[in-house]
Amino acid sequence: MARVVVLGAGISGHTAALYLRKDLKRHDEVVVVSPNSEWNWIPSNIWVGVGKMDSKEVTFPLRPVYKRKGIDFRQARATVIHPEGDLKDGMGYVEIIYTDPDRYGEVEEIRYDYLINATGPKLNFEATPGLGPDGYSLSVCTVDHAAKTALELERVIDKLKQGIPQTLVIGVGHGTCTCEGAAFEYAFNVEHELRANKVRDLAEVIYITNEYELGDFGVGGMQFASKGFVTNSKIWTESLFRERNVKAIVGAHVERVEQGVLHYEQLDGTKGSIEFDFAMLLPPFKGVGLTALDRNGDDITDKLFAPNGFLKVDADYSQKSFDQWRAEDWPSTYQSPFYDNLFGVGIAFAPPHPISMPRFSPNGTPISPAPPRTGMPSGVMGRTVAETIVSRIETGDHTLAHRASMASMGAACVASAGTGLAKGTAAAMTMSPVVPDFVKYPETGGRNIKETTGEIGLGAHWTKLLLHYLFIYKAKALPGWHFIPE
Amino acid sequence: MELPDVDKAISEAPLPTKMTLKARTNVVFQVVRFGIFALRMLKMVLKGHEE
Ligand SMILES: Cc1cc2nc3c(=O)[nH]c(=O)nc-3n(C[C@H](O)[C@H](O)[C@H](O)COP(=O)(O)OP(=O)(O)OC[C@H]3O[C@@H](n4cnc5c(N)ncnc54)[C@H](O)[C@@H]3O)c2cc1C
Repeated sequence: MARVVVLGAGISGHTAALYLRKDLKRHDEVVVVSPNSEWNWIPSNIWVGVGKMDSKEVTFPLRPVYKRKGIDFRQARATVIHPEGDLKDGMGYVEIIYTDPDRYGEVEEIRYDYLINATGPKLNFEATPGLGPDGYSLSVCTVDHAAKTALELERVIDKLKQGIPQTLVIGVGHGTCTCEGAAFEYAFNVEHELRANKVRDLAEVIYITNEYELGDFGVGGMQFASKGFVTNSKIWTESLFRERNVKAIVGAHVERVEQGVLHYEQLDGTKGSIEFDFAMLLPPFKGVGLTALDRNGDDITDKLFAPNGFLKVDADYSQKSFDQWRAEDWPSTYQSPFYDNLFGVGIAFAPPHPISMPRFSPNGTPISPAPPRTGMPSGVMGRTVAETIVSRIETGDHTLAHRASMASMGAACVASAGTGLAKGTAAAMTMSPVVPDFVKYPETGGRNIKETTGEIGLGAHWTKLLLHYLFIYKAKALPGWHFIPE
Repeated sequence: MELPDVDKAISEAPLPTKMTLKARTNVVFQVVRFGIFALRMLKMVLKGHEE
């Protein structure tokens, strides 16, 4: 009998847990530790943030799903990993602290044969003074944030209806943020709502980003074939900004946010401020703050985790310059280099380096996107690691590993630009691979031009909506769930 | 570090024609595009799991 413990029930952890339960024998245990009792389809928080979806439409309670599937769910937060166990018992264990209202604050130790860290990001609002819902800006990162943001947007629309001009700033709240795609989506959804409410002419919509140029999205942009030409995501995105009259500030690091005003520095060293009536700014991410101790109780956090708090896996973490980055630097098994029964998937694994070129202002402020780890790759990683663990438990061979590198897998990204079954629009993109391979595809920005595509339209909105329903169906583990690919 | 002039880039970006805008909302055309994109995604995920 083996016990697999999964930390985190987001896209990657929940996917891993469902596949583990499906493929392991009944006597093997699958334990999920996660602080929230609800599962959230985060991509649709954008629609909650413009008041077009209710919080209930993007979440569901996890407990009944886990009960039905035979997964042991502990509503708790993991705090310390002991990969070597302790002096009494060499079996690894993890310390958890319950957030479950019935056992709130209780501490427990769970021994494991295999541990998957899928704890996602800590939303690091503290990195920028005044950033976030506890400061002076809004967020759509959690469903509660998004619901609050929707109310603020409603207030702004009311003001516009009274003829009072409003400035709406949407983007990323720090020079090292990731998730520019989500900020872009939210900007265009808000713009769409302003139009739908016939108040667009009095509103100024400004997109502020750490990207060097529009269309970078943290993946160094994309080239693709369109109507007989090779074009790129920069031109494509700029075209959308022109069509929808959205202003942009690029290469920007938000230094601080105050009541109704934000201050930023740009890559060329200039500083500026914007007065706003509404600001939705995504935070940078870091690891959730797990620590690790060896068998003697000595702290080995710095050995297991990168300085940003994400778990080191089978990536090449040696310091290299941009021109030395290679596809092979990226991990494929997600196994810790120190313990063969410890894995990190989704946002929780430490990337070897960014994907977009790193840039600094003359003051030395880093202003360039951190690498995104979007839903599709996160799900694939969760499944791949689950398959590795199942193979190892079944055969007893601890060298077996399934592989899925972001430098060889593709991803589809559908960025909503406005909702509505008849009037919605979205930008649908596929890219392959996610991490460019400049050796394999030197002429086309490191990507396979045949599999890197982009289009804008109502059909793309339907795709986004379809993905919403499909992934919630899959996450609920309803009949045939595993036929829906990640 | 120099920054590209983003206002200029936006003002010079290609503007979709009326035909393009119509095509983006035309239900029949979009049903076809939806189907094509769905197939493209399916091909990608199936390939992604091969490794
Ligand atoms: C607003 C927004 C929109 C997005 N839109 C898209 C999109 O359109 N398409 C796309 O592909 N991607 C999108 N993304 C990215 C996508 O949400 C992430 O790629 C995905 O959620 C990553 O999955 P994950 O499992 O690594 O992390 P998460 O989904 O964040 O899950 C982490 C889990 O770990 C839990 N946890 C945290 N701390 C602990 C702890 N100490 N112990 C145990 N558990 C813990 C959390 O509660 C959570 O359940 C978006 C992200 C945002 C913020």
